[in-house]
Amino acid sequence: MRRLRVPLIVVLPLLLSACSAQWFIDTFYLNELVTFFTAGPVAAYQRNVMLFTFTVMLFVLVPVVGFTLWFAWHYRAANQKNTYTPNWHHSTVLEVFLWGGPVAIILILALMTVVSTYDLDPYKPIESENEPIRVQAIAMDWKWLFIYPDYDVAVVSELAMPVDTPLQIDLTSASVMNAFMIPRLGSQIMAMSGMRTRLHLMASERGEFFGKNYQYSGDGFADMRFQALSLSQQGFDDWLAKVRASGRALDLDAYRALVQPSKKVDPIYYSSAPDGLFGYVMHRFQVGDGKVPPDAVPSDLTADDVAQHGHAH
Amino acid sequence: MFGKLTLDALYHYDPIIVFANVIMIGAGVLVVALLTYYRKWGYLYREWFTTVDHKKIGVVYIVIALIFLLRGFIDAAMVRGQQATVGAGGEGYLSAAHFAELFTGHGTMMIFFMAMPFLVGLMNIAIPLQIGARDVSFPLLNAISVWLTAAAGALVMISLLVGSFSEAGWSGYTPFSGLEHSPGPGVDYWIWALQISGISTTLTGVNFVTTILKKRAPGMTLMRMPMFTWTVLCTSILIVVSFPALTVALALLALDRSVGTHFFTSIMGGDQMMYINMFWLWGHPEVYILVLPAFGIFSEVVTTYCNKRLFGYTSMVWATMAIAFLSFGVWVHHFYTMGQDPLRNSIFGIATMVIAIPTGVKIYDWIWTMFRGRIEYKLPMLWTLGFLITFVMGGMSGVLLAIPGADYKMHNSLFLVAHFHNVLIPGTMFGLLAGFYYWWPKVFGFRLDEKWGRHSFWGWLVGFYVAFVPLYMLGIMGMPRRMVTYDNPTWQFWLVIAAIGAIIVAYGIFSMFMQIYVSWRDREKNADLTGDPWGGRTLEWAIPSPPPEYNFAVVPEVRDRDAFMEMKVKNRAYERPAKYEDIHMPKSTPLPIVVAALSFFFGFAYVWHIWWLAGLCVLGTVAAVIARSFNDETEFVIPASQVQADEDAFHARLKQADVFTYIDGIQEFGDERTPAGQYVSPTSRATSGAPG
Repeated sequence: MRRLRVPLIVVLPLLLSACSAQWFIDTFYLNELVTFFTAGPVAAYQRNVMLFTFTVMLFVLVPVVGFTLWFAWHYRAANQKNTYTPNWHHSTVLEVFLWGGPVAIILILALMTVVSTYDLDPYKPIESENEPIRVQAIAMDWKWLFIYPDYDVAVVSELAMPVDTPLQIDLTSASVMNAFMIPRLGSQIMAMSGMRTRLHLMASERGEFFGKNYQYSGDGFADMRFQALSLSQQGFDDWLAKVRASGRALDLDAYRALVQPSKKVDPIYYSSAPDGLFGYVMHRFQVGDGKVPPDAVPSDLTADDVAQHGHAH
Repeated sequence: MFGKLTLDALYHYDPIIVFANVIMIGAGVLVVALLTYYRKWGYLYREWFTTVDHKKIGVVYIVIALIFLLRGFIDAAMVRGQQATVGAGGEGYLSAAHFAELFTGHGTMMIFFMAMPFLVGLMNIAIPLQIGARDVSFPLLNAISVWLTAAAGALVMISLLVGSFSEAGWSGYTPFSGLEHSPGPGVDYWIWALQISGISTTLTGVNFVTTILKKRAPGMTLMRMPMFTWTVLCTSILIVVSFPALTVALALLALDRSVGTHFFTSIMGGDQMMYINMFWLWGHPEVYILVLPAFGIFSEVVTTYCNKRLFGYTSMVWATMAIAFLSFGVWVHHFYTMGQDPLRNSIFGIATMVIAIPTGVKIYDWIWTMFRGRIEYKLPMLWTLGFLITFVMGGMSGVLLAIPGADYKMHNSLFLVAHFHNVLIPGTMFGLLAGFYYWWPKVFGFRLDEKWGRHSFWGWLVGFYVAFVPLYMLGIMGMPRRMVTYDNPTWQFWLVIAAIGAIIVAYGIFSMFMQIYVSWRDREKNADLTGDPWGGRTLEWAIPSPPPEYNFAVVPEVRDRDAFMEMKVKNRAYERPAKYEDIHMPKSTPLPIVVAALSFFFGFAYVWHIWWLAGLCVLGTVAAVIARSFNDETEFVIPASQVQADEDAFHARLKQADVFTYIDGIQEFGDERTPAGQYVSPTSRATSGAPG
């Protein structure tokens, strides 16, 4: 029996996986593990951080589980033949290993933590041959508004980008705290009223990825999602043309209507958006009641100025 | 007259809430009717409502904890049920608002009204006994603490009937929990329930720091304290230092909501991030407040059932202190994604990981305590093994989340939810249940049923994996937490499995209540005559089960870490003095229930802005405390003759159970390096060399 058991344990999973890897993938939806099937450099880096950490942590997991099960079985009271040392309670050599092991593992991980945290700093621009595209994201109850100041358009619930081109996303909120993330592209960041956060992302393959608010924000939270479209340059230009063709302008009246709570919002295209709207929305929390009144957006108010004001008011 | 309270508060649009209220009111009426029918009110008042005895107070805490275990679990099961059945794009049976109340209620109740009372209950029961004391330092304060917790729990309960509970999550992030976004009474209920239970916990912390530092039996130096006492000392220090941060944060939030200040609002210069900072400045130490005493319980259990000294006691003490200290330097890891610079995130990331070092050492120390032991597989030992294997996985995912780069990706996902359940369920819940079984005979004088206990263990363990491995998977699939519905059909498969896990855990909980019932039914058969059912090593096992009100007829003299084991080996266990003395004990008093009732009405009045009632309750509390301070006769005397009679009866039972033969047997073993019968004290010998 003993001889038979070992090869079976080794062979059986191999057999199973060879014959029906597809079965496993289909049954357990393994191709949906978006954290591992990344579509951009940020997410890929994060996947590697996780796999590296997981591998290092196996040096903790395996001995702990192994020793626990071994000692638990071996030193059971029923087995009276074992050595029994009721007073043994200290060993300097062993203690050095017990402290030293975790210290060594944490040293390795700490080093990796510093390097990866600087590399993955959401404020750090992504290196690329292509010029980054600026996006201003405003979280509302319960949808995302994305303004493209470089192209003078705005979109709700859809975020398009050309492939291999970095996005520089500025975020704020017109309501409670929200958290922006497109899992296949990586990195989450909070959007907060009266403040600006920044996130750099890039898609390195074409496709449609889901994005969402990850911070609970009320009744419409669960449906507060958007599609991220990673397109070819031509596709992106076509998309811009389609948005512009909508002929709907995001003026302040349209903004005030949009900012009212609404759920499960399908994409809305705006062919133009006033300059400085993002900064103005932030500013209204710093100096007003957070509501945007229907007068003109001040022309001298840049998002940078407002963000720097921060909590001065 | 009634502030914002109108009859509308009693109207519930949701039939599920109506049903829950019918059950709650029905159960309440039934309990009151039974107590009246059996004429138990006088008994309850004399023996339980007015008691200042730490053992009974401990029992009350655990009763509260078990009630809220059921409620917290029902909330969790409804959340699981919703997500498993809603299907992609569906509506499900819960509204978004009710769903939010459920996940808020689940977290709030499990932390504040299940885990905290449970562990404070075990602290109350075990600590004075372990350190050879007759009571805690401030018995009256202790009674006030327990009834304040009950009052806070009652506020949570009443929110089901009158109004609604918070929808802002158990952490109540601003500005969502502010008046503008949460105008209803829910957040106010949440604030005052937490505030009252927080004050109760702070008082408990003060009480236990003092008790442990001042009331130890002669000879019990700090480095001879049992590990559980050490961990409770650290936890109590953490409570005293960290709870004020929560109290202040909640007080400022209450001001924002009731008098229109702007501490945490999004306008007028309010700082929404500051609330989150303050909340986690308390919140992270709170994690260790919950987990350290459980670590202490595991230490007691491992030494007792391995029949062996604790390996690396000094390491354990230092590791515990290190965890307590470091727990104040990691709170930023709860919000790496708030946009601070990488330097700050790196520092807090590393600080978080560093906690894994002392935690790892503790785990290895328990494992090496098993080495060359004689392990008896009683139930607490099973909980300990389940803990060791499961907790290490939670630790792994914890280190993963400690890395800011990885957390940017996994934050707010179900991976995070899986992680903290993977730490708190084995780390705290398994420990509490191990301690529950371990100390039960000491409190009630009979052992708990082993068979149902094992059912409970396997229910919890298997249920845990079936419920939470899917959440890890879903987190990796990108599913956020707190979703009442979703439109990705592939998530449902894993959510259904998680719901099956919840059903298995439900069996574990059911088995625990069966265990209590069966053990109570067979209490004669399971009676613990000797007070030492497990071959214990610490002082609580040196006295009868249940202990007399004064605990120790004679305050013991401690000569070793394993104080009672040393007595047994040296044949000085159960020694009787030539003559017993009178013992002074604190009298029962109704003050605690008066204060608690006034606090409950204060909280209720504040929630509904019934200002005259709130004011009256404050005045009433002050008046009650002043009135009490005129009472000079707060103690009574147990005469020496009574003590003598108790001890005679105890020794008769000891003889009947043939304890002295067992004690002679103990002297037969010894370290193989030690001639049989010679006991080697760890304090008299520096090291005893490496194993093998």
